[in-house]
Amino acid sequence: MPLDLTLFGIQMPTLLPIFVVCSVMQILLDRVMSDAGIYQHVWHPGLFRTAVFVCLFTLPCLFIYR
Amino acid sequence: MAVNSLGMGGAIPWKRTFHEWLSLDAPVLIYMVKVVIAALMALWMAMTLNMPDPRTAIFTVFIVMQPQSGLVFAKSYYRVLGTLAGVIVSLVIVGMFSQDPVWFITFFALWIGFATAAGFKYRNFQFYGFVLAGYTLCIVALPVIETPLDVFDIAVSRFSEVIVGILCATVVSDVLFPRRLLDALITSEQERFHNVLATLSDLDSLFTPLDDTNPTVGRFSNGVVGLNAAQINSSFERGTNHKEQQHYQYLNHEYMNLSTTYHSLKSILSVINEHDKKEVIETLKQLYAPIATILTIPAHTLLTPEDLSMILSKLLEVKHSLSLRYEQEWETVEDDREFIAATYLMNRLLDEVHNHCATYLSLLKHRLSGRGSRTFGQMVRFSTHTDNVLVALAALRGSGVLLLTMLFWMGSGWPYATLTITMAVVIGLLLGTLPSPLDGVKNFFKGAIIALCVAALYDFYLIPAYASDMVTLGLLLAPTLAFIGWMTTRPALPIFSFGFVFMFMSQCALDPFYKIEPTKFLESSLAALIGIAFGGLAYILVNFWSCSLTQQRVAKILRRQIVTVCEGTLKVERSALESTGRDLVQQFSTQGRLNMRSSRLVFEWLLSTLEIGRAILAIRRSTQGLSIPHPTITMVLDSLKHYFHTPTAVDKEAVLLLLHQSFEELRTFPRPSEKGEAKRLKLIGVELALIHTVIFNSTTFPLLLEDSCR
Amino acid sequence: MNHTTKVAKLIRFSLTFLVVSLAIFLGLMLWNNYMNSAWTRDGRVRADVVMIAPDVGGLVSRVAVVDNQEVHQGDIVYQIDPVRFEHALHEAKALAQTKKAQYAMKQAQSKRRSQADNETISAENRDDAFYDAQIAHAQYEEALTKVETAQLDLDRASVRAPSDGWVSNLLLRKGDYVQAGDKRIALITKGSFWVYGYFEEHKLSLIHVGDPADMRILGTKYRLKGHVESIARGISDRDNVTDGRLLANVNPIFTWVRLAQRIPVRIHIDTVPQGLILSAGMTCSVSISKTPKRR
Repeated sequence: MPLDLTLFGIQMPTLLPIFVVCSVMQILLDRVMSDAGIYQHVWHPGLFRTAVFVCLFTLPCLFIYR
Repeated sequence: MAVNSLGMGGAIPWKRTFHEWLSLDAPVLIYMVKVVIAALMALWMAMTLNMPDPRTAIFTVFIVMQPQSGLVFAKSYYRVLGTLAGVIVSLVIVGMFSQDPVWFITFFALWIGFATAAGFKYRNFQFYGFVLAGYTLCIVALPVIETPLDVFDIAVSRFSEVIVGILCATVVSDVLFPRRLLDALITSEQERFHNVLATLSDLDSLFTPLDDTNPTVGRFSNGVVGLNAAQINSSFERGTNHKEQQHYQYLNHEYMNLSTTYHSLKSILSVINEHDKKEVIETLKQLYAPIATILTIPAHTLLTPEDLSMILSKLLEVKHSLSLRYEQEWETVEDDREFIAATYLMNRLLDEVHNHCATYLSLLKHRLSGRGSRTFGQMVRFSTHTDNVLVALAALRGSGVLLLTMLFWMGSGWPYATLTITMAVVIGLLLGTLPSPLDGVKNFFKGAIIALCVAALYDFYLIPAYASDMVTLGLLLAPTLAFIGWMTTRPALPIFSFGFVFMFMSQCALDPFYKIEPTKFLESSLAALIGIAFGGLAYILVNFWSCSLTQQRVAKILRRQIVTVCEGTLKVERSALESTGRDLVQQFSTQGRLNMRSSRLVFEWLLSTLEIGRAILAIRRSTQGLSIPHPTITMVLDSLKHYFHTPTAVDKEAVLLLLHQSFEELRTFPRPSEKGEAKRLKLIGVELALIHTVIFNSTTFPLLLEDSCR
Repeated sequence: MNHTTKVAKLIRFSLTFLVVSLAIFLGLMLWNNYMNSAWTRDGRVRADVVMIAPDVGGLVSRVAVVDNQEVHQGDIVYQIDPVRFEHALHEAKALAQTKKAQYAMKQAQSKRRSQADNETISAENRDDAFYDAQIAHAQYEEALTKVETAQLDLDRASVRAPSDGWVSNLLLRKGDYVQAGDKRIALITKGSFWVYGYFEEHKLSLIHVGDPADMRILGTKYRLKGHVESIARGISDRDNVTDGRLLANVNPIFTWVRLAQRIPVRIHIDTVPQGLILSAGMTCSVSISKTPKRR
């Protein structure tokens, strides 16, 4: 994946759009998981949630900085 | 258990002290640690990412940081939206009008006015969003007024700094010893439910007349709006599912209904008391006694679901027997309107208590096992009331203070006057919703002065003497940051601490590089203090809002509500009527400088209005189902509408007479053979009796021009 | 506490632990890759630019190229009005002819006098005639050189491209007056493109001369291949600007978080993809991989 993206004539690191997309995905995933009751089977939901976000965010980013 | 605890003897106080510490002091300490960590993390990240103004990031942390993570999420959400809106507007305004002062100032003032008005209209954390929308325009558009080409850079960096601050605050508050808003919500719901039971089981307080010293009314009526807000914000938290939210909405809604019914019943009982009808009171007491005994539970015990189900089944029994008794009494004492109204209300109260208990039981079950027993239909919406005059006033104040400070800026030509503008606008945005903004301004000022002293200490002594890198800077800042964290948990000093945070953050040398600039420090401090003074001045000038004016206005709005109910659509939900009314009164009682007495009066007006409105809706609905038209009912409704539109003493007599007539007519009307028809007629009769009683008992009514303000 | 709750607790812990450790692992990996791989978003395409100046001054009578035109070595770029130089040449030539005639006359004179006997002409006179002839010869030579110079001026009045390349930002117009030595036309030399990648100082240890580099031009899908040509050995110290008396002027401010300086690394472009028009000044992101043998 490229290091940079150009959106509307503004150059930005690819991390930025990935971050935005991941945030949206995280919000949706969070809703699904809380309705499915997954957080009841988790020791520290806050930590879990942050960790899930980190995973979501780092996986695509690892393709940029190999 | 008891033996055990007695045997341990001396250990108990220690244990208790420890538990007390754990439940009271430890959360504050943890919160302080969280604040310090989040703030320093934001500072470090902003500096590492080479952002030009790291103080925006650390300031954001303090704005959004709250003990409960749900509140942090809610605040962050609105802060991001507000900042985004402010950034976009400043790009547009600077882009279009940077060469044209007149239009620049006009649009600036319009936006500030809009933000103030909207912040005033939407309370809770949406309010923060609008505050930030106005504030962001100031901090982005004003510094670049000489160099408009920089606006894009400034806008982007301010926005990214805010994002860094929010990330730090949310992650720290959710990962490090999280405290859930939902837990607090449950505690207050529990408290409220026990309160309800205690009030309802108190037979004597129900039958004693209303007076100012009776605390139950106040106790019963608070917290509807606040709990609703907490419930909305808790939806930002993890693991809050839809079902639980619905439970809270229903509980809130049922609670509103319950308190209206309770209050109506109480006021009617006091009327009967005044008329000295001993035997009627006795009969009513007998009717109510079984309910009271069922609801009596020992103090300081937690209800288990089993207890509750038992109460529920008992309530159901009483309900059956009461409705039987009710039928009998209706036959025997038909001529007594008050009695009919009272028994009807009692019946309704019983119904509502039953529902409320059932929902609460369902919530308990849901929390224990995830299986709530109740299924809910559609969502109950909490409607809000917005008073356009108040909103317009707020907008006027916001724009006015901006124009005033702009004049000051242009007149003096002082480069630091932009800070004056920012500060004045912040004061106008932030303190507008307080009960007494002027006191707020004073507290803000005090906080700002103390913050200036602390910031000066940091800027000119501590930082140059002891700080050499990020670690030492963090260590130096930590005590003050922790102190700010502690202050924000004190309910007594929110505005003071806000002034402190605002001034400390803007004056402490938290730039990416350190510079000693005493003149700049002094000039900008002076500018900010002048800004606070301007903000306070605006509150003094744009404030012709007195107690009696508020009363008049509330009365007018409440009356208009009844007029709308008389002629508007029938699709109005009772919950909408209730929540709008409550929101209105809440808004006015924080805004309108009412004293204790008049705010109680306003609250009574509200309850009477709600009762009449509900009764009118019920009558109109029942009339639709009638096979034979009853012209007197339409006449009654018309005269009610007329009366509430322009109330006069003559009209009041006419309305009462009409009510009486139609009630008599209904009673003497030959009972129709069809059962539904008979039931509807009876219901209309009861509601007419209710309206008659409420209007007749005119001390609790939004018509009289009694001035309780003096 | 029965068996099932213990199992449930174990599941709760292990689930959280699993996801958190995965997150930590991925996070560290990304951090490592982000910090320790040689890449930069701050790369610039550069090229050798010749600033063409005329050797002689004069009015521009013709501009032979249009903006951004490709020129070859020796092509006329613009023409300075030659009339003055032609006149000068004619003048020089005329002068040379005069000198030639004078030389011929002096030579004949000298020859004649040298053949006459001592009674007819004095030795001194004879000598003078000889030297006069010598002087006339030298003057003739001088006049000839002047002719050559005038010819050169005339030639140099047509300004020519010193190498293959592209004319850039052409602002010169017919009728402009140019001084000798005025830089009026920039010529980007063909084949001289290279890339400067500005790398953070801590990444320099990962970069070696000869490492293959991959460059992506901003906003396009084109990739340039190249290799590291050299690494700059110095940048200026921004905190120490020399003052008027050559003393150090050290900045009294200091940063809390030290930011890495960026050092230019020169990258030679090996292949340019088909269809890409390379321009000096383009932004590109550069990532450098290790040479295969070192791996």
